[in-house]
Amino acid sequence: MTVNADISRTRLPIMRVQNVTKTFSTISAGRRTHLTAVDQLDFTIAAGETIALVGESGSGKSTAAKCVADLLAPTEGTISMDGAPTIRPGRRARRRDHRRVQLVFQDPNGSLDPRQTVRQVLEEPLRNFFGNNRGELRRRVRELLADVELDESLLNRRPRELSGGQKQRLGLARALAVEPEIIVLDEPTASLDVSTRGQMLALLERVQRHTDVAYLLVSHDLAVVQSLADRVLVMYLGSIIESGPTDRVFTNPQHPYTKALIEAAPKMEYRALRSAWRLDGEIPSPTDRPSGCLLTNRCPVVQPDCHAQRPPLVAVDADHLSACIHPELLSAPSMDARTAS
Amino acid sequence: MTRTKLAADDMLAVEGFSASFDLKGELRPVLKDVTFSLPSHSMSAIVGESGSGKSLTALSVLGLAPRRLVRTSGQIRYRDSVLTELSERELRTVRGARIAMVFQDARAALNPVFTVGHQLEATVRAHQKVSRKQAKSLAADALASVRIPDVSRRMEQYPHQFSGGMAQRVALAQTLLCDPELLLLDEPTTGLDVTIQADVMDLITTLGAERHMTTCLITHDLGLVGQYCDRVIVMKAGEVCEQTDAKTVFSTPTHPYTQLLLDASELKQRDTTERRIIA
Repeated sequence: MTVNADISRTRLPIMRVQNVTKTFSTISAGRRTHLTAVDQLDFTIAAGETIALVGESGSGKSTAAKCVADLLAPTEGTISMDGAPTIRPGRRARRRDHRRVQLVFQDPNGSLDPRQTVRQVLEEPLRNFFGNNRGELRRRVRELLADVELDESLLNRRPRELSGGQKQRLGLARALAVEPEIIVLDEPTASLDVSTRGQMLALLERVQRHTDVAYLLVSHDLAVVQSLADRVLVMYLGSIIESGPTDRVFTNPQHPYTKALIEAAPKMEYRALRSAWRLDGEIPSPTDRPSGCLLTNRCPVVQPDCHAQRPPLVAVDADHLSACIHPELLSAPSMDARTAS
Repeated sequence: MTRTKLAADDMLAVEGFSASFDLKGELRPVLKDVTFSLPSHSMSAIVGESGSGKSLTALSVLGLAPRRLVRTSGQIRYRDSVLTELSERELRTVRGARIAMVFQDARAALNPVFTVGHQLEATVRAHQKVSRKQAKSLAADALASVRIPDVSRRMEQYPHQFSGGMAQRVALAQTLLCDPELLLLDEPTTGLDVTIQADVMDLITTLGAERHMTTCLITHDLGLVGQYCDRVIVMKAGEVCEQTDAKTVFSTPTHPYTQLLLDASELKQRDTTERRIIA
């Protein structure tokens, strides 16, 4: 196998997301309108890989993750695992699929039942899928705790008696209980302090090595994305505007939005040189998406022809795609003029 | 109690401040001998993890700490007065007017059932004797000063109609109404997107300079400290472990905990080349 082969191509995808669109109907200014949260999303997830969805709030990354986890039904398009669509009628089939895709939520306080003990939190999914054998349950619960490096002395504690890091580990253990193939990680470190953030990320990596589980990471913390993800999908206003292997997207972004996102993150140094590459204003409402390129009203190098039509995702080089028709402007000298703040 | 004279260029000095939580008679120390000062016209940062006491310290400055927090020793001095010895009534003339605070979640700090304009006007009228009309125009000026476009329309809107970044600007505008000289900001950009974070931080820096304010950021993000602050106070478990220039903290941190925070803030990039070979 060659060094350049991408994980997604050397391994068969376990999930295929094809043309997934999700619209919501809302009332804005007294009129019923349609809001496009996710627009024709297309990607695959292979076993053991980590894919990150990044973008500002309102970019549709959470909606996309919810579709993957079957918490929302796409308006159009299909999501399939091993060739069979996951959204199918019948409770039994759905239940089987839910075992294959699990979620770890952003806020452990909101996603753990305050009245359940650690043991109960972990036994519930095990009972649901693997039966009631008490000895077996005890054994699996102990295994799960060991997997997420939680001490057995915590078994009878309730969430409020756990630290933030411990709660987030418990959330991971609960997801792992049913031996899923994909875990959706929704901002897994947003509730944690910097010192525990690193530990959580290291744990996620170890768990992945042992179980070969795939992660779909939803995050706006680019440092976390960089340390965990193999591939990145950058979303803006519901569409993927750039995708590719993490190192290439971060070192050589091909879309003005990605570049601005990367360069906006503060650096760990005193008065770091700041990029002049900045976006104007805020993400527009998904009820009125610009007709041409989605970024036209914020792009620092917008050109007249950017308004004409929505640029498609095209390959910049092997498996690095971008939806910008003027990538040459990304290195325009005028925009590279860096100013010390 | 010895009264050390406030250095002429210090706006605020916290001196040997210790406080404990009163848990049904049992005192549990949470702030231990906290000592630091905020130089005038500087932007400082109190950095620490949750539970380090950074927010409690800031709340103590304003006399807003929970009632069960009991001061056991030390004092907080602001210009010529000792804040920790003021009565609630005296404190009220300082709080908001001289020392103001922006809270972490701006949308939670705003009342959801009143328009933004109404809330800003109420703030003006609580501090100054002015007519409704004057209050309205002062409120509008404040919104304009935090660069909110389309002020007259925005005044009539409710907090839920504001994005996170815009709500943070409103919260900032509300504190500026009384022209405070010391502004405490508790995690003002947590929960905002990085793109918006830069805008809000730039605005805070500009306003600080324009209005000759002394600002103090309470944060866990050392990146912000490096980008915007002059001074940094590192807290851990209720104690100040390092107080230094923002520049020094990045070049030569002296306390091991500071080094630990710096290391933890920079994450290692995943080595994808190696993973691809395995695959």
